[in-house]
Amino acid sequence: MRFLARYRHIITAIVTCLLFAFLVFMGVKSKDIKNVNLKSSVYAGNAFGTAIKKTLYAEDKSVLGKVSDDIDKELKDIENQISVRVADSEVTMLNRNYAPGGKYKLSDTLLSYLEEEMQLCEDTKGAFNPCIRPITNLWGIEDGETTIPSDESIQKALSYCDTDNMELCEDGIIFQEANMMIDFGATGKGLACDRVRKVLEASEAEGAVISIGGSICVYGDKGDNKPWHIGIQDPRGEDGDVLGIVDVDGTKTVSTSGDYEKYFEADGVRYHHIIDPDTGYPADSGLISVTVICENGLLSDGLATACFVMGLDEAMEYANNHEVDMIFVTQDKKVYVTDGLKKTFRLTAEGYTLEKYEKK
Amino acid sequence: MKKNKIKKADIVFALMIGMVVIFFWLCHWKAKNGSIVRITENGITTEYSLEKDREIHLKNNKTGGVNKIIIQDGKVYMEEASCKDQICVRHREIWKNREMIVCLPNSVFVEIVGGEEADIDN
Repeated sequence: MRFLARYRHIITAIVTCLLFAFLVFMGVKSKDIKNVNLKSSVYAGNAFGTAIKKTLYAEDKSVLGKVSDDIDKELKDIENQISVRVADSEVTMLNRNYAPGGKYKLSDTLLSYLEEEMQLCEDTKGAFNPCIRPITNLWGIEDGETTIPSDESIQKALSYCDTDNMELCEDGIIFQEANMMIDFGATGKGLACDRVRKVLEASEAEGAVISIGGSICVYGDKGDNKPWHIGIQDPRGEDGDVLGIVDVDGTKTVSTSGDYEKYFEADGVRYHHIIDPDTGYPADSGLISVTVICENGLLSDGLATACFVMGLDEAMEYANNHEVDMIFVTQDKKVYVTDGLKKTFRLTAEGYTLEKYEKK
Repeated sequence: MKKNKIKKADIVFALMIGMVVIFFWLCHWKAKNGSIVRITENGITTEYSLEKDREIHLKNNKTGGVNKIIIQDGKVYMEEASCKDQICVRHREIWKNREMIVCLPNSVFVEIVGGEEADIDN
C-alpha cells in the first residue's frame, strides 16, 4: 500500500486519462446511436421458389411485422400473375391459350413489363430475349434437369424463340407462330423489387434491404443518411460468401446473374441456366458473374442476364453508353467494375484480382 | 518531513481504476457472449448460445425432413439436410449479427441474434 501512496500522483493521472478516454468513447457511441435511432427486424421466407430475406428499419419496431406481411402479399400477387409455375397465372394462360396470328388480350401491368422487355431486347441486340421460354424449358436446368438435350431438339426449340414473331399492341400480344412462350425467369425477381419498393414507399418503414433470389431491393436508409453496404456473392465460394462489398444508396436494385446459381456438370463442362438466345446453349462468354446496379429493378435483373450473354467487352460498352453501374467477374477470376463503382466497390474475397479495364 | 501514508483519496483512486477495468471487461464479455442462435422450424423457435458447442438434430414431423446443425467454435453451419437442393448445406458458416442460413424445403431458419455486427446489410 505504500507503493500506492507513493505513486498516487501518477495514479491520479492515469485514472483521469482513463476516465477521459471513457467519456470520449461514450460520446462517440451515443453520437452513433443518435444518428441510428431506427429499430430493425429480419424476416425470412420464400416466393417464386427462391429465398426471400427482408431486413426492415423503422422508428417503431411494431410496424415492421405488417410491412413484412404487406411485402409477402405483394410477392404472392406478382407470382400469381407472372409465374409459369402457377397453373392459372396470366402468363401460363397466355402460353397455353393464345391463337397464332390472333391478338391475346393482356392486363396493363403485364403489357408494360413486356414493353420494357422488348426495349431491352432491342438495346442488347437480342442478348436478352423475352420469349426464350421454349429453349429454357427444354433444358429445364432451373427445374433440376441434368441431361443435355439433342442438338436437333435445341434447334427446333430455338425456332420458337424468334422475337420477330412476337408483337405487342395497345392492349395485347400477337404471336405469329405456334409453340411460342414467354416467362419472367430473367426479370421477375427484379420487377418484384420494383413492386416491393412501392410497398415500402407507402409504408412506415424508413429503410430496407430485401433480397429476392439474386436481386436486392435497397430502400431508404438506416436513419444515418448513409449508403448501404451490399455484399456481392462470390461466384466460386460457398453460398453467402462475399466477393466484395459495394456502397449503394436507397433508390437502387442490385441484381447478380452467374453460372453458379443453377447448373449441372457433364464431362467436366458446366451447363448453367443462362442460355444464349443465339446458340440455344448455356452462354459461354468468359464471364462467370455479372452484377448490375440501377434504379429500375426489371432492367437491372434483365441486364445482368443479357450482359452475361454479351461478354465483358460488349457489356462494358453497353454500361458506358447507358451509364449503368456493373461488376464483372471473368473465368480467370479477374474482376472489372465500371467507372461509377471505382470508389464504392471493395474486393474482399481472396483469389480474385481487381483489374483496370482496357478499352478494346 | 511528512510520511507517505495511505489516505482516503488513494483508496478512492484505486476503486476508480477497478471500476473502469471492470466496465471495459464487462463490455468485452457482453460482446463476446451476447450472440444467440435462433432456430425456427415450422414456426417453432428455439434459442441456443453461440458459445457452447453442440449438435442440433431437427425432424419435421409433417414432411419427414431432417436437418443437422452444428454450433462449433462460436460459428454455426448446416452439416446435413434431407432437402433436394442442398443450398443450406452449401452455405458458409455464420456468426455475425443477422446472418442467416435457410433450408426452404424443410422450412428451417437459422439466424444469429446479437454479437459482432456484419460488414454487409444484405
